[in-house]
Amino acid sequence: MTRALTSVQALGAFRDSLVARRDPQKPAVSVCAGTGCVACGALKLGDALRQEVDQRGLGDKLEVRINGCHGFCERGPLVVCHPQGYFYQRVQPADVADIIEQTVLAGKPIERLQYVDPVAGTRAVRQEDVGFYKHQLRWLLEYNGRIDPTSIEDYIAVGGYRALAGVLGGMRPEDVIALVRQSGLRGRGGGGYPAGVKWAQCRNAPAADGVRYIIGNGDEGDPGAFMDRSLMEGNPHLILEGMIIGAYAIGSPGNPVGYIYVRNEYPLAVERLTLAFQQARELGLLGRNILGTGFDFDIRLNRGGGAFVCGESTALMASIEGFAGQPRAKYVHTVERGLDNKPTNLNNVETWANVPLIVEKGAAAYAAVGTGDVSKDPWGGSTGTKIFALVGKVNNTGLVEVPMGRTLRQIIFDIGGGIRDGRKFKAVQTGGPSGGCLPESSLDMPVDFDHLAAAGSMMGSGGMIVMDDGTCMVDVARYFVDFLVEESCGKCVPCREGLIQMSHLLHAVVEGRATEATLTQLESLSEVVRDASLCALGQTAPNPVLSTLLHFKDEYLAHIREKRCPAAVCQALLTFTINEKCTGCMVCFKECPAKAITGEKKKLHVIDPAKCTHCGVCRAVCKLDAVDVR
Amino acid sequence: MIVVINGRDLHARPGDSLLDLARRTGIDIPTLCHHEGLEEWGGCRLCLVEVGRPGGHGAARVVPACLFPARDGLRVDTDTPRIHRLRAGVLDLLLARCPESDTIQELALQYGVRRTSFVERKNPDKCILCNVCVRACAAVGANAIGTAGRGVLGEIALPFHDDPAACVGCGACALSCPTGAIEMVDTGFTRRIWQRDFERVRCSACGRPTLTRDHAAHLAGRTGLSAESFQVCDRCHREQAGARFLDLLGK
Amino acid sequence: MNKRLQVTPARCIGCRTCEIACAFSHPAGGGPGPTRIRAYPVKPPERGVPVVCLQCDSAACVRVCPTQALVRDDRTGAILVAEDRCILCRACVWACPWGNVGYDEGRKVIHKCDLCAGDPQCARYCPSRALETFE
Ligand SMILES: Cc1cc2nc3c(=O)[nH]c(=O)nc-3n(C[C@H](O)[C@H](O)[C@H](O)COP(=O)(O)O)c2cc1C
Ligand code: SF4
Ligand code: SF4
Ligand code: SF4
Ligand code: FES
Ligand code: FES
Repeated sequence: MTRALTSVQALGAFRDSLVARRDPQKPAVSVCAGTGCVACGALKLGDALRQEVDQRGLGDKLEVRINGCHGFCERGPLVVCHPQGYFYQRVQPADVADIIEQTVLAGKPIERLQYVDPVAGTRAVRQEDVGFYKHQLRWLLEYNGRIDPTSIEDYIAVGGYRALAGVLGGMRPEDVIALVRQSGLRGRGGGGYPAGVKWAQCRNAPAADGVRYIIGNGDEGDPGAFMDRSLMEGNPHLILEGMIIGAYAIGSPGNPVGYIYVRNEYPLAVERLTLAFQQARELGLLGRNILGTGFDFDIRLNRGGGAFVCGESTALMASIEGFAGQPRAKYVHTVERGLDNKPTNLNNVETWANVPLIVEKGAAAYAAVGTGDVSKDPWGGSTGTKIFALVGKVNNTGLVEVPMGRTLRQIIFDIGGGIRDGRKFKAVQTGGPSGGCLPESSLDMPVDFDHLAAAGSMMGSGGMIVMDDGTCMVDVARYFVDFLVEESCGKCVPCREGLIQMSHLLHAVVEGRATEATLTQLESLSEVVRDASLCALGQTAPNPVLSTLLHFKDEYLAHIREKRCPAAVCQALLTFTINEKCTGCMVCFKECPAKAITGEKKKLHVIDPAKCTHCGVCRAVCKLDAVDVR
Repeated sequence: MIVVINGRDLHARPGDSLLDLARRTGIDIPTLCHHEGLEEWGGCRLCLVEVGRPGGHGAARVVPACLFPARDGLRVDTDTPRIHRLRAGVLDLLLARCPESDTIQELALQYGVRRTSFVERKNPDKCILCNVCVRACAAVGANAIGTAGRGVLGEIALPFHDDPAACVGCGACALSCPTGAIEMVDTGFTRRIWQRDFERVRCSACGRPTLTRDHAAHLAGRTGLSAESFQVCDRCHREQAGARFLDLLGK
Repeated sequence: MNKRLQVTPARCIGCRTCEIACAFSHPAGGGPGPTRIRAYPVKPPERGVPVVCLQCDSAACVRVCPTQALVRDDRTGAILVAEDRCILCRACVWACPWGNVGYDEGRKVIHKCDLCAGDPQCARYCPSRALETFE
């Protein structure tokens, strides 16, 4: 069927033939089959669609496409009907007949399936009408909703592997590195290290046996983050193409093999990537003599070790070598001595996915989007787009891709549609579990590497958790520290022992056992953990504590001085009282496990604060909303 | 290659870590997980020092001396207030983990920590998870122990917590442990370590207990010597070897 | 001064002075330490054979040590025990075919002839020049 493409021109010709065979006006129904939508029944929906198409004998007239994640998982399963581009959300198998009759055959939109803006109440006909999408710039995610991730032909038809062909057909490796450097691309996995600088260091690192390793980091262990997942599942070839270009630029004549390290919990990503590699090999885009240019590169997939810390570069390399996924403190950079002590270039998969775009757009056009000036120094700004996983108390949650430098306000309010249930914004946590919490006063801050770091948080891999005024910031700090206690690998003392003590101190605050000395101790302990820890997990772990202490100190003090949780979250500090709505029904009286409630039939009940254990049962069982909590 | 430590110009050799250089020149840097004969671990963080370049900008960096390679022109400070604070903090944490370890108590006291300011661990043992024992056992070639569990819940253990099959009872782990956390008891011809009783070979010449049977077999494998060589204790081995030497000389 | 140690067994009278000299020049725990040299009596006539480390070029003890705790001193040519590198696996003890590496069970250390930092004391006290040093 498919034959290996033996020249750069052959790829072009192959693409032309694919495009010629496709009719853009032909009706097509695209079903999102990202993990989120699949969880909501997208596969059943796809089956139902196909069945309906078969039954009606519409096989030639209509195409049913299965795509990767569209980012708006919360509204899944999502369906887009082409050529009109009608956008439907929360689609169920029962809607299939209507979609075919009304939209496909009659060309009319179905109002019932449209998205209604929860604030403005407006109806969105097409994807671009949805506030969530309107303010995004989807460079990386553009094709997620358009191509079938299991089809290399789909990818090639939309221009895939053109960047690779351009590179292999006419650029020297040094030129590719210069291009990436000028684009200002910085690492999307956490640190924001300029990719071009890293590549150059790796290329220039002496490699006696000519072996340099290229690795894609798809470990993505942050809770709530799924941007890498959606790229790997929705557009695996984009990452692969970036890695092949990188391998060419960095050069490993001794052993042209790279690795992609994928989190163990991502079986679909593993499947899609494995398939993508196989397809690329068959077409001569991966393996020996790529596109007949004499360039060799192949890739192996490694499944992650299952811990958050396995995503850290040295732990990841230890894990690929077959050792425990623990970081190694190396003061010789991994670009010089990494995997197997060979020069190694590790980039996050989103970083790799940017590479074909840079080649296609050119460095200047790429760098035109973003902040700062990278024309002289890639550290001078943050360019291109970044995908964030917007979650928490916003109306629209999901994956959002925006140009670097959009403000938090634009992301949270324009794209996220503001705070849920009409509540007030309180804080946003960026950068994963060891990121910082930023208050309202930071909302107009541009989101890029340097601004986030200066504000005491970080870009991390792009997690963004929005919190409303019902959130207790001390409890948030406690939550993240407890997460990190579990994830600390335990190799170094400050992280292993320091985090558990930090957790003890925070528990003392939320349980009302703390004094002001506790805060001083938290601060000095934070210094030890930050400065003395071996890897970035420990070094950044105090961020949630330090940033909440900085911006929300009054909340800590309320817990300590007044033994009160202002957000009424911390159980131990709540006071339960019964108000005059009480009719004396005796339900709470019977249910209270602490026997703290006294009262007679038809008389106002009273809670004895000395006996109350703050379990909240009374409030839960009262049908009259007569139990107040403060 | 000149490295400036605490204001002194010191000549470093290629391959020196800052710790190597400091120790050779009599500069004291405390360590716990460092063992001269084993691969560096970098986990205890007691050997932290500050490094910066002369005239370099930005704050000095805190790095572990055991792992940081000596570089020409590097400026190192081993005893700044910040380093003191960090080491005291680390020891305070270790004291909460192992309140009963005299190794830790003594070190902590040197940094002004008499009692931990943190919450002491429940049912504490003396293990600080420095991994010296695991690395020693790997060097022995037995690879009998490792870390089980992650983070604070981690502990040094046998595979599946209870499989001592690979252990040869040599005791290298217990003898190398900086805090004496590994229990090893010799009674007559039995050695108990890692939940297992090992039989010690009775010296065929003098009748005294010598290596454990497993250790003898392990060493026979590693040295390529006959199993009989290990039927005698070290002293009788010496006598017999001397006699062989005499034979060789033809007296 | 770096002196080499030369053994001439034919001259040994089996008096074991060398053992005493060795023990006293390597004190341990306040008293004389375990001796690294052994003068084996050979009878009759009253003679002996001193057996001491030959500082072999390709030494079995050095080769077997997993932690490179046996290191040749460039200056004296002696193979020394770097105690802080040693994990007491005792492979070297049996690996030496002549029994010249010993184990001090009480103090938990490996010991062997160190050529007394370049001035072997055994030779200095040997009454019959069975042990000699030369520059
Ligand atoms: C605890 C920890 C976890 C990390 N997890 C990831 C991860 O899941 N994915 C990732 O790409 N980078 C992760 N990183 C960052 C990597 O160490 C590394 O900096 C990154 O992969 C480099 O790629 P980049 O320059 O393209 O960002 C983690 C770092 C730490 C300290
Ligand atoms: S006693 Fe067992 S566990 Fe300890 S070093 Fe020897 S073989 Fe390893
Ligand atoms: S048992 Fe001893 S040597 Fe082993 S990790 Fe614990 S403290 Fe270190
Ligand atoms: S006992 Fe010490 S010197 Fe001898 S081989 Fe073992 S580690 Fe090396
Ligand atoms: S899985 Fe469908 S939008 Fe994310
Ligand atoms: S000695 Fe433990 S980290 Fe250096």
